[in-house]
Amino acid sequence: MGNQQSIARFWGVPLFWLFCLVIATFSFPYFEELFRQVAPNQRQVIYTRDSFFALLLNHLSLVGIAAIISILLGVSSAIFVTRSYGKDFLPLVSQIASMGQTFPPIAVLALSVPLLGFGALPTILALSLYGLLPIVRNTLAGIQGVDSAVIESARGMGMSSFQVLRQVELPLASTVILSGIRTSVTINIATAAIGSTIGASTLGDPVISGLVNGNTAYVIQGAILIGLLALSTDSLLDRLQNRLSTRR
Amino acid sequence: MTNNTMIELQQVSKLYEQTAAVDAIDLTINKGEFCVLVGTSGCGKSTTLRMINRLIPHSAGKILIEDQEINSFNEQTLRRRIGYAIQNTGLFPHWSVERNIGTVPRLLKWPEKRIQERVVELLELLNLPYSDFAHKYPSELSGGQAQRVGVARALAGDPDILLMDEPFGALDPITRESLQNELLRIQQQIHKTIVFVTHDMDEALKLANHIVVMDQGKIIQQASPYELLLNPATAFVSQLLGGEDRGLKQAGLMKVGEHMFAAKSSNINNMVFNSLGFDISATEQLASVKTHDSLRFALSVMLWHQCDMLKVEEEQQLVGYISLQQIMQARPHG
Ligand SMILES: Nc1ncnc2c1ncn2[C@@H]1O[C@H](COP(=O)(O)OP(=O)(O)O)[C@@H](O)[C@H]1O
Ligand SMILES: [Mg+2]
Repeated sequence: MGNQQSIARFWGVPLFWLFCLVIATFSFPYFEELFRQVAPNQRQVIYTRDSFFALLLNHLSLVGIAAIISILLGVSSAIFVTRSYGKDFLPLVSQIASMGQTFPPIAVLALSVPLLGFGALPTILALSLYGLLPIVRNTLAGIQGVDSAVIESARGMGMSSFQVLRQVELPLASTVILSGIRTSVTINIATAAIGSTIGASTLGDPVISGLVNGNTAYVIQGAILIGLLALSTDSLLDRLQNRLSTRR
Repeated sequence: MTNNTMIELQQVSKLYEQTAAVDAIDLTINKGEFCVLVGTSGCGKSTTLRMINRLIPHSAGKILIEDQEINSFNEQTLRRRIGYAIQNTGLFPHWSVERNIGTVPRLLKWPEKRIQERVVELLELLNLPYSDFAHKYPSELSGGQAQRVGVARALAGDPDILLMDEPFGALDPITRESLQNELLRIQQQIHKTIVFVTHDMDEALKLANHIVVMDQGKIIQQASPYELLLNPATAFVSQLLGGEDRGLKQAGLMKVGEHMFAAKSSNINNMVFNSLGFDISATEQLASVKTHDSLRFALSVMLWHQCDMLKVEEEQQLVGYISLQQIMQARPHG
């Protein structure tokens, strides 16, 4: 009983944002009058080209697929360059990881169109590349931050390199890695919206369409959903990270 | 090489670039021996130690364990047979004390039940009550407790050899001393072959039965603690031994029990006392020491009480006397 209460308190914030997100996704039509105040000159004030739920799912799958790709690629490349056989590449990879952060996402998006054309694919490519950087950076920091005495005793007791990685380095780096994943995913939820400009179907659709047609109501609807989605995901990952660091 | 030899280093070197961190050393360590490598920082002690469990590959020479070249073993198999404890403990911060201690047994794939029994046994050996400590995490331990766990973990796989690199170096003097005493007590029970690294000559004299003095990658002298004190081979060794403090250090190695005269019938006592010019009626008020105290300690008690004679007692029973003269004349039995 007490346990259930504390679980509810622990997950309270993400649950609240998730609840708001679900409500917002389905309830915009009921607030038609309100949105008409914002865009009085428009014939239509509720975005209907696609259902918000479909846009939300599509947005989430783009971000999700991109996140899986960048986690796999990012974590494994950071692991590779911290092994003895890959350490020659460490300066290169850590340089790219810190430089890439200064690159604007819209530029990555624009650059991937010539490669993959319009649609979901170039968006996924851009998101995975952009999301790669915080993950690589944090995985590197996490692994390099493990006390060298701990590694030395792990090896000294007869763990194989893989056992040291799996049982010592990764668990000890996990909070830092997860915080990188959190940054990456949260940024990409916002960035994915820009995918609408190159033909992916995302929560950015109403925003772009609103901007093009001067329909502020559309812009607001898209922005609210993107904002709530980012808040839900970020707080959910924050709780997960907290879980991991206190469980030890 | 006899079959009493546990570890043998033959002309072993370690080169970094062109400089030798360890320079062609020969060292034989017998089974059950407590061998201490001592020397100033950077002289190659840790390098020597880590070459034994192959954390550092040696550049030249041969290292044998029970007659077998260490390179003939699988690296992990070798290390699981050798306990390893270091200064900063290297405990796994994300694992409980119990899990930390069980590391090597788990690598050796012991059944869970046997691992748990072993953990219980080791915590008991190191005076850490199971119920208080097994489920703690390293961050919840004091420095001394963490180091005890480190030693327990090194012993867990029941290795024949224990390598220890300045394990007590980061502890305060009182905790260090009590851990040294416990290590000696434990060694009396388990008779491992211990190779212990320290820069502290007092620690070496106290723990070792085989001291190896190193300087700039070379072995300068190896001897028993007594021999080292009596005959330091070079000025460097006597400087390490503390110069004029040597007398006190030597007194620190000898036990009161070995140099006192035992209390016999009071007649004989009378005779002895008279010959020493000592007033027998004063014996009641004498300060007392124990047989296991060192002569150094007895001397300090004499200085403190401004007297030249002490009672020796065990469990409140008079067992003998020790005089200043006996301390002055005491020579180690070797
Ligand atoms: N990885 C390394 N590369 C180059 N030199 C090293 C390395 N490790 C140790 N040394 C050198 O080897 C010498 C011996 O080091 P070490 O065995 O750690 O000394 P000690 O444990 O006696 O203080 C030192 O002079 C040290 O600078
Ligand atoms: Mg050292």
